[in-house]
Amino acid sequence: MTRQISIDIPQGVNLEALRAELRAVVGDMVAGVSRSPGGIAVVVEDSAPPDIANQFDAVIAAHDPAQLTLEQQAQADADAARAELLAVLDATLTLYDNALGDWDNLTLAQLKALQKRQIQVQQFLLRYLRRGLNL
Amino acid sequence: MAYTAPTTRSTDDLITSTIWNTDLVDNIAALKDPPSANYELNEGSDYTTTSTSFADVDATNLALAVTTTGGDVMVHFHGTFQGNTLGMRIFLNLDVDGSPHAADDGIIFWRETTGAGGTTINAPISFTRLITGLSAAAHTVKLQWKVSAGTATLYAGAGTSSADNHAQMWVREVS
Repeated sequence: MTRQISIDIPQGVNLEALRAELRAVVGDMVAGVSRSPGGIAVVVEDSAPPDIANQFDAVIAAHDPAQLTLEQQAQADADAARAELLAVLDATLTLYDNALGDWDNLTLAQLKALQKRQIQVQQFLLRYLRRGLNL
Repeated sequence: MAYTAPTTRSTDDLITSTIWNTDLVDNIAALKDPPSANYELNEGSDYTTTSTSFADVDATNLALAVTTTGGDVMVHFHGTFQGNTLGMRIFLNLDVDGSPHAADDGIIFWRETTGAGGTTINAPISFTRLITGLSAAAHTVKLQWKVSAGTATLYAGAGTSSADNHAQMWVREVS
């Protein structure tokens, strides 16, 4: 069972970060943070003392909504890597289309550039896979 | 008009207008219009939570009160949710008169399995639940939710692009 304590946080809120910050100070009596049309509330376990909200003030005042949690930063990094991979794949496909369209007239330098590009793409893909494996 | 359990009659019993009206007219009227309550979300903003313990989604609007005559109560909810973290679960439960209807992880969950090219995914969640054993009295049923990690969003008809959906919850005495 839980109860909810409404809070005022004018600087905006990163719900996941605020949850982590509150739990670091107050402990696991804080179950999370919710936002509804009625406002923002901290969800606390029913066993929490009545004056638990007094411990929120300093945490709320110091909260920076732009500060990501480790999980959010990892997610943002993964999103960026995915976007980068898509850009590389699109650029390479365009390069291949152009090369195949004029294959018989390619110079040695152009063929070498094409080969180099293939190696770069393979290298990029391997690094992407390596990052995903997180070994 | 409340339902009244009809009395068993015997041959030669006099059926007065009072008896007729109580046993038939009023009871049919009661069955036609059983105790019920419903709410459709059409809010100014969506709902979100990071709570890992069950918490009310909306202690005002998604807290439906009915005064029953002792029968079973059917509860239905449908809504569209978003999870933002791969593998996270969104759990739903009901709170009946201040107590969780189901123990442990509640009555239903959905697991976020990120779609191609994205890190968030939307899913409809719907359930219909029969609540038995309630006394003839006023009862309040609330929708509750929790997550295993990350942030859950319930769209609330708040104008969110491509997700301006109006979830609904209702309760009705059905027996």
